[in-house]
Amino acid sequence: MSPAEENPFHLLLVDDEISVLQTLKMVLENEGYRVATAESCAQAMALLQADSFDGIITDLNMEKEDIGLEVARAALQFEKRPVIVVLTGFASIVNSRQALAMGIDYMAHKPVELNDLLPALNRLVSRRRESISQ
Amino acid sequence: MTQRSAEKRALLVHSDIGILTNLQTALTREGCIAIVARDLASALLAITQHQFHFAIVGADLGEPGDGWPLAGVLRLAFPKAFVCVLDRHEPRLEGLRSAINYGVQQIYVQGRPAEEIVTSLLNDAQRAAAKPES
Repeated sequence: MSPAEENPFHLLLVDDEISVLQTLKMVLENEGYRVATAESCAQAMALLQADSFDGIITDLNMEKEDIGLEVARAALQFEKRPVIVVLTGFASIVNSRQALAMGIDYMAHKPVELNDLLPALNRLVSRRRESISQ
Repeated sequence: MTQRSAEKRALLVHSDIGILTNLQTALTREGCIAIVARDLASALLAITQHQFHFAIVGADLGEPGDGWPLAGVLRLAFPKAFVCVLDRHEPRLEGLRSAINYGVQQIYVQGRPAEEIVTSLLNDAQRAAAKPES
């Protein structure tokens, strides 16, 4: 059994669209991830304080425009910061510049193309685990 | 020569020899060793022969946009390196998304004087090094 199988990558998935949240959760769990979900920025913030995550996948626009970047900003404060993926249906020059400056690891456009997202996510979280274990 | 860049090695990849020469001169003045490559093949060879602390890659080498995947390869090969892309115009949405998803840390516009680009590069690299790693 590989280390990832013994200790599955733990993800926090944040989206206010329940259908997206449930579908992505199911897909990610099928890929072997352990997934916690939050339907708002506030819920996500509470989970970030209560648990540790290898990766955060957050929608950009939820109760407020670009509020997903607040979730990302909070996650970036951790010493071993998680991989951060932002999902958006409404990318703009302004929020994309902010995401680049913050060091967001991946930005996926909705509807999410799983063939692009899943390999990228797996590569990023595996690399994070490797760098932490070194 | 500045202390911050002493003995740092940079890879410069661009199809325009004038841009390469100006950047190489500016980096050398800052105390860096600058290796130059005019195409993808030479850049890949350089990656196998040296360790790099910085890389500046033209967004368009032989084909439009082919510098982005090379920048992504550099980030994978040298996870601690500061990798930026030199683009012909102010970053647009697609460029920003490519930057995020290939792990590129900054986009500079190539019309700026080489000295300015190198100063920005060294400052941005210092800031990036201070951030927690994922």
